[in-house]
Amino acid sequence: MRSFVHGRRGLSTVVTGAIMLTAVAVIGTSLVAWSDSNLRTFETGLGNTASTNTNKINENLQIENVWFYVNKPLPLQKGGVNVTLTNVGTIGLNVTDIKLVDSLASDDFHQNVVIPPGKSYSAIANSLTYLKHQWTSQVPITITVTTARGLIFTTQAVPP
Amino acid sequence: MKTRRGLSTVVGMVFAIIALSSTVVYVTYSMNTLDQYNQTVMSKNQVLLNQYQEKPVLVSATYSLNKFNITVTNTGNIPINFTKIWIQNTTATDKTYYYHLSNTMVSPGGVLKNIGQGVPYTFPSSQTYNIKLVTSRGNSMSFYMNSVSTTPLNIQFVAMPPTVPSAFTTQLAMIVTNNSTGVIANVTPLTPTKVISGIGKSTAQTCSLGAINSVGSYPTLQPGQTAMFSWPMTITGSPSTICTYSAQLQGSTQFKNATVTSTVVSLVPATTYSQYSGILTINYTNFQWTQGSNWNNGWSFSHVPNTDFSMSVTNNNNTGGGYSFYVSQNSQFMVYPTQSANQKNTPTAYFIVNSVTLSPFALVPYVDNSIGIANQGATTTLYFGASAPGGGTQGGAIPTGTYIGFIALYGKFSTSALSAGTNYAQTIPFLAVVSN
Repeated sequence: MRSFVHGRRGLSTVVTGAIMLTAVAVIGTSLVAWSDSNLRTFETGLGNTASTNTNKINENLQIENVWFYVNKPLPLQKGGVNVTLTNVGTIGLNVTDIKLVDSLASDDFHQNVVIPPGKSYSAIANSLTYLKHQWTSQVPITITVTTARGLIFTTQAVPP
Repeated sequence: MKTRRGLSTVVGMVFAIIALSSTVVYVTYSMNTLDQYNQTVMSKNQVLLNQYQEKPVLVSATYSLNKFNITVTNTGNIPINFTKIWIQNTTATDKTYYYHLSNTMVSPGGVLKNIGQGVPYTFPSSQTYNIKLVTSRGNSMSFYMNSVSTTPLNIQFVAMPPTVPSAFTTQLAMIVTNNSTGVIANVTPLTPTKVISGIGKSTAQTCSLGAINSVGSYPTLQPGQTAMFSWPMTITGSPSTICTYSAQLQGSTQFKNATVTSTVVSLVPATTYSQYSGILTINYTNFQWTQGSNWNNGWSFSHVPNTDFSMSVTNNNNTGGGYSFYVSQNSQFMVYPTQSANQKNTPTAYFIVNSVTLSPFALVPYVDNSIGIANQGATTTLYFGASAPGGGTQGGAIPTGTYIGFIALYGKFSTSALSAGTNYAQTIPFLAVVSN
């Protein structure tokens, strides 16, 4: 009797132990996997955020020179602007947009130009070799340059 | 039981190790990421600080062999490397050049010369330019060459003093103030040119402009700075004549005329002058006497009879319209002895004659009002020697002694000898003779 009871108790204990062990293993594994996944996600997010912001910080575009065409598209029509950009940062950048705004007109020029570090780029628009914008003498123009990383560089110039 | 307890502990420890390792890895990664980010921010701050600390200053900008010769100094505390030069021809605005510079590092406090000499283009000095120097940090320094026409400048051109007598020199001064916010390089004036003007006035006989007697050029003109140029100018001519000059800066005729300023230098009006000295004046150096052989200068002559006199008289009346001073036959040259004889000071008078001939020595009697001296500066030689008005008889001899003399001129201002006019009489003093 003692032996019979002893044997059932042993089986039950083993089964229970096995079940408990399995449960602990499954739940533990799941928890560890879940937490690890979360950590990986956070890690990736942190890495992306840090990388994006670091790249933004390192991006340094200089609007080096702006000059105005008097004789474009026709003589004395004052219809052209040239904007020269220089990448003085340590990483390459992609110029996506140039906007010229003054009190009389606003013109937007979409761009897709990669400027390596230390290089310059004179902006063009489509088949034209200049940014078509009707300027007026002594009326300031705001030049806004947008990059693919979302940074905006702005300067002002006054036509002669 | 001992065995089961050990297995549970092992399983728990495995999970704990996994969880802790993941956490440690994550925290380590986060710390590294934050550290890199921090480094980037600090690096960016340093870049911006360096950009801000770049302080180049333009010293001069001149031409040499049709190329620019630019000198800059570094007044900041970090080295500057100029990497590019932009040159825009503002005379023909659509022409812009750029050139990559080399060996253009300037240390703090140092001076960098000859920038622009290596640019493989030539630039006529007669045209205007906007020049920009770009540094490796992205800063730029721009200035204008000869671009006074496109820059707001305050230019004055004045004569100091504006009114001077004939043959006197005045100073023509050109004062230029840079009212713009940028530096202007090579501020050089052109030599002022005489302008024929003066409505209602006649131009002077001579307008003589001397060489510039100030600094001839300012290499740079900082915002708010004033430059001054001056020239001596001598005017010669009758009263009320003028000299008008126009001055401008080099390059000002291009595109936009920024410097057109003129000044007028005029003589003392004749009417004002006459209020002090009389309408009729003589040139004392032309006073002459003769005793028949020839005309002599000087104030000493023999007391023998038959001495005649001549002198040049100028009519300074400024009234136009063809008026002249017609000399009356009562006009005379009289001398008074400076020492009395027998309590008397008896004058000796010599009346005007038409002329005096030397061979034979004779007087040509004067016809009343026959000589007219035109207004506005005309000069005529008058002769004196007759003993009576309109006569041809030689006046008496002057006894030995010293004498003071006067010319008494009578006449009228009229348009002709026979027309009625305004009577006028005047004495001209300061003559003296000695009869030996």
